[in-house]
Amino acid sequence: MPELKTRLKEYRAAQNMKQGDLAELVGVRRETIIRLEKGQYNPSLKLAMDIAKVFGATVEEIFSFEEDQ
Amino acid sequence: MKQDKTIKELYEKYKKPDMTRAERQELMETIYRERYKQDPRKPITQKGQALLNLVFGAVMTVESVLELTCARLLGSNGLGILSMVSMAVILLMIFFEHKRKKEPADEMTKTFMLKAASLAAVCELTVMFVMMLAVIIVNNARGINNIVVNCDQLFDTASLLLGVYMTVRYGAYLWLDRAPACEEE
Repeated sequence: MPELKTRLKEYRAAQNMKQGDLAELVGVRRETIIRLEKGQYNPSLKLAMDIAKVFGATVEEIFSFEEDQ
Repeated sequence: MKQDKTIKELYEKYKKPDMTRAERQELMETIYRERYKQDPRKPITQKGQALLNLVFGAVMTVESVLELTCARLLGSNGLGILSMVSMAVILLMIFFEHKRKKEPADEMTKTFMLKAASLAAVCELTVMFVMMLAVIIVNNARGINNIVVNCDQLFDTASLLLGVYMTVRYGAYLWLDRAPACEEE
């Protein structure tokens, strides 16, 4: 079954952004960002697009589905 | 002030007649977030709110169980003290909650709350079934054919069911949202 993989941490580190700052920008809690980075929560389309907009990237660049090996 | 102007603009946008229900809901959440940012009070997190509600539910559950099962043992004085203690705890919680601003719920919170609510509903039905079974078994054992229910027992039963629902719902939510807050930066 495909698993959601995120490159959220890489993009956040590249812009020297804290989890709390990103959470405030997209209107969610810091715990939500933690779970997103760990792949423990699947974001809604709106949240995924808002996060992609913050980093100036596409949704597919940040979130992808990979086959679980 | 700039921030007040933002909220005023949002409210003006809310009044437009051509908005859909989903758009209005989203705008209302944005307004709530803006007001949350402006509020000078200290915040209480979603977990904190859930913990307070869990304690509220637990107090209601314990009080209702004691009033339903140990009324004769406690006597009228004991019941009075029990009611006063639980009321004092609840009033303290309400006072504490009023002194803080509430962190708005995000989509993950809403998802977890829905899961917790469905679990709480199952537990609620189980408790109701067990209570009915206990009443039938005890009355049959005593050879009692008629069950007399007074308004105090009805109120205590309603409190018990509400208390169980709140305790299970918010306990389940806290268990689901158990990611450590101190992780990374």
